[in-house]
Amino acid sequence: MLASFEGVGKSFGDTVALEGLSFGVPEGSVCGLLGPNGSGKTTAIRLLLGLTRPDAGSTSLLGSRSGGRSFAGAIRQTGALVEGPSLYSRASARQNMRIQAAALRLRRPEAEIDGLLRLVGLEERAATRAGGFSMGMKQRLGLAIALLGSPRLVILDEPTNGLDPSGIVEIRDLISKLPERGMTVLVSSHLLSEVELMCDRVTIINRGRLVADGRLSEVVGSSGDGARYSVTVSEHEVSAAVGCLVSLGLVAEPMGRGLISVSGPVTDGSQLSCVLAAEGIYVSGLSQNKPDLESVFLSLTEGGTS
Amino acid sequence: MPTPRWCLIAVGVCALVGMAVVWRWGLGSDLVAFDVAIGFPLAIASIAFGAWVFGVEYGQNTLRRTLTADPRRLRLFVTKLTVALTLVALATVVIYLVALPLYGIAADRHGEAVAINDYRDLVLGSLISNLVYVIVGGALVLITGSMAGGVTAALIFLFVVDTVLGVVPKAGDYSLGVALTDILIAIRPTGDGLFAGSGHSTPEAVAILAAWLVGLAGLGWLRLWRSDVK
Repeated sequence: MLASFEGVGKSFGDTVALEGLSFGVPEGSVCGLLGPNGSGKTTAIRLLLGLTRPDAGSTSLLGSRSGGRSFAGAIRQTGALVEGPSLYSRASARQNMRIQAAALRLRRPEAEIDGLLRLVGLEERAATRAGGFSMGMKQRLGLAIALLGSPRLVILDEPTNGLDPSGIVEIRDLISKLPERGMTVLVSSHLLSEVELMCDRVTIINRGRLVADGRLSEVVGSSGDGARYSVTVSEHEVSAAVGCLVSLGLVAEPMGRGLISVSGPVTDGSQLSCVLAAEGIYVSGLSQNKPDLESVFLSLTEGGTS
Repeated sequence: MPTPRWCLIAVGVCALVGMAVVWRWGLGSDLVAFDVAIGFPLAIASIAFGAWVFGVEYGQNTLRRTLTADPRRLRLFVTKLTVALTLVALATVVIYLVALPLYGIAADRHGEAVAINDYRDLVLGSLISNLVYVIVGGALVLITGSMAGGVTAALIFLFVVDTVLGVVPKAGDYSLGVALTDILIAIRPTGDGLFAGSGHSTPEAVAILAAWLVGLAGLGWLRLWRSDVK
């Protein structure tokens, strides 16, 4: 694991931000960290980066315990964009990157700076003061700074904030390709569809506690609902079809206009068609409704909004 | 907030105004023109510069970026302190070195000359004062966790709290300002200080001053070390 939490607890006064949080980020993955507002996502990221200290448990980064002797070395191999870009407003985009390169003690960073500015689409604004940038441009620059020095782990907190739709797509594609550059990514986002498209793992926390963690397909598949099917028959055959399906131990619910929602232990949707055909009921439509990350998120967080 | 550039410009303007005054009316006694035109502006600039060096991360909200590049907070504190002290010492010496011949030319119109030994003592006193002010400005920024708050707190501390403390019988002898005055009097007996001095020996005054600086800087460091970075 490149990053891990073990029984981490953190409170701010009477407010419990995190409680017994344990999960890890495997090397080579793009891990999405999800949770409603105030669930503790940013606190978890700040703990991981040593910006704040846990009240209980521990975090580790690249095998180094936060605050330990080797932590400085680990954090130099970690790029981070936390709570929006942190920029020197009077310095240009290039100067901001040079400052970071100096802090990371990179030798001859100019080629890498040029490459990253090009990657995030800021090569023509390299000499512009960061204070004059739009929110989206600041976010792009923050991302370029996080990628400086080719870190092994990249931690991004809401990286698509302030970006226009095309910018979101560009950044999403960029993030999903980071493992090809040997980088592991932990990304928190409130855009569930974006997480679903760019992450292969997902960790969901709610009220400071872990509620789901694993590969995206596992988390979505473990929602407990199983597969749902929509079956369409003639309106006058609905009651007969429902009776047939219920007699097989399935849950069948008429939805109107000949549509029946079916759930239960069905391994192949064609079984439904065969069963109903055997009863002389013609199936004019059959589709499988797979659970998506949004429905899983909402069920796990009791309808909380991210 | 005043940036280093504006601090330098303000000190330069004050020094030029002082030179114009010397050109028109002469140097006066006890090098007071240097104290007023260069010494006082440099002292204020030192407070502002100390606050800026330690507070730029708070002002621009870049502390988390700095600490995610290198999380060693003690290293950050020591580096900032070293840079602030070095630059203020250099600026103080260079500005006084540049001012000496220029003010000398202006004073020569009135048949006056700058006494080199007195001038050396004045520069040494100003240097020590400015180093103290840098530490106070920086420490109060760290204690308040804000650049604007730190500058305000430093000015209030040095010009109100410490001044009031300095006039308290007996206890006032242990104030930062009185201890600094004791040291300045030892260096430059003819100088005009804000305080009368306590009569402490120079080693005692140095110890009192050091205790104040270590205390303030220590509190600032503790705040930086323990605080959650947002």
